[in-house]
Amino acid sequence: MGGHIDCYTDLNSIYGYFGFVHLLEHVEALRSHRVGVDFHPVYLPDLQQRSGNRVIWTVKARQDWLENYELPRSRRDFGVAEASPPGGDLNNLFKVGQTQLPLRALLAIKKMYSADVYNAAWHWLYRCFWSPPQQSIKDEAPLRQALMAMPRDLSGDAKNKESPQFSTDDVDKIMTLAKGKHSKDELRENTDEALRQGGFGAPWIMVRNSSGVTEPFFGSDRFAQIYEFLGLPYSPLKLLPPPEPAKSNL
Amino acid sequence: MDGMDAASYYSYIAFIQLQQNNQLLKQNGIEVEVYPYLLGAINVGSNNRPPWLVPAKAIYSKYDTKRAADNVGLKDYAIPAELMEAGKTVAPMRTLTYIRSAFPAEVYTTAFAYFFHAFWTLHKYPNSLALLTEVLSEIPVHFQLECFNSASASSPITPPPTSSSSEKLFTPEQVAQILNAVSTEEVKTALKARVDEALARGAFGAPWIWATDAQGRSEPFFGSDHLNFVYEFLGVPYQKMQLLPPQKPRL
Repeated sequence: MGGHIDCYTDLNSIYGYFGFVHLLEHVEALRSHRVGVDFHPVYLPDLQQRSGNRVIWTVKARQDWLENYELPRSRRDFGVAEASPPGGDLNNLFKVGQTQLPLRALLAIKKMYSADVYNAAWHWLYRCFWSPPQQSIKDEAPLRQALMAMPRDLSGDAKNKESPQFSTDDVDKIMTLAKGKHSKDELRENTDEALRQGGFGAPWIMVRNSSGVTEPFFGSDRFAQIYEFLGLPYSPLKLLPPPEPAKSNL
Repeated sequence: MDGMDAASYYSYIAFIQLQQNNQLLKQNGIEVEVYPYLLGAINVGSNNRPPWLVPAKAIYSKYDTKRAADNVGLKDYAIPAELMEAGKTVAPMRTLTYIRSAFPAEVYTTAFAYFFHAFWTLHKYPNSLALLTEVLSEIPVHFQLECFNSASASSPITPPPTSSSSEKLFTPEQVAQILNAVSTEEVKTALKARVDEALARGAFGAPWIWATDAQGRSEPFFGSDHLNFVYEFLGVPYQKMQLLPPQKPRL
């Protein structure tokens, strides 16, 4: 097979988080199919505004349904049941969702470290943003703290909690690069690129299959379609027959 | 229950999925009721607006609609050029509301299937008396699409009944009976009540699914692409989508 997945996403998007979690969990499996995965930071408010997309929770019935039903279901489904918007209110995203600086820091980390560390940094910052106690990471001081606190191993193994991924010196270098013009330009170029490809939200996923054909996919619920497009073997969602009634033992 | 409008493409997709899973749903003790409803009225009532008003979304939706069709095996469909005009479905939805109340469930399901087919494949938008009469009169008695028995559903396939292909679902007298009933207050009120009920339950689009579990708890679901959440809520056994490892090359 073979192919490539470019995922454009932002830390302030819960669906971006879901899509990220799914792709990260499948990075190895996709690699075994010779499909690469690359994450690209885009600034979502910019992408939405410039594509003319209206934030969906301005429709009240839809917002109610999302908050009361759909988001809890998706959170459980993606294994991040604890994730919730900062302060428990989606409207807070307008205040704390200014993620330009952390996105630029991710671009800096991408330049300085391996793909594994870069992906882990995404994972960590998503957790900082969405998991209680949600931290605001939009400003430099809390962002530095968040990066300093990033463990080398995110898998939750207690003994590695003490071993940080970055030293103070590392974080200084990351932040210097993040605040430079180059990172600023790069973030804007990523957003431009997503717009050029027809993007209007996150996660915006461009997939190239083994024939060299590229198609766009939107959202965290299109992975079956992506695997279909890539020609990968997958088992679709299936309703099953009811279990056999338990046989009574003697 | 499932609120569907013939002018809603993803309602059609969900309708096909329900046909494909019909036997398995039954085996799991799940009853399915499909209700005609009015997407236009729901959009107005909830202040929603169709996604294709955002140009980038309109472009992307061409991919998404094709993938959804491929997924259920739907062939030969096309999005109407004038979806706003074609989407005025008050007359056909009233018609189906009446058929649901006056005919057996299988007749109603067949008629609903044919209305979807007429809308998305034959490009007959039955919102005039002439077209409504034509569509009602031509429905084959055992109309179904090949994809209703798609291999993606592991349920046993019922062979299509071997009736003559010219036999129709409705006699001319029944067509006249249906057309007479469509403009009655009773039918108008019944459809409006269904729309109002859905709005009261929080609907903002179609298909709008109201599922009730064995304990009598109900929750709303929206769209044709999150059936896993419906299965999870109903507590029926299902298998999630899974990426599989590469197959070993054959020697």
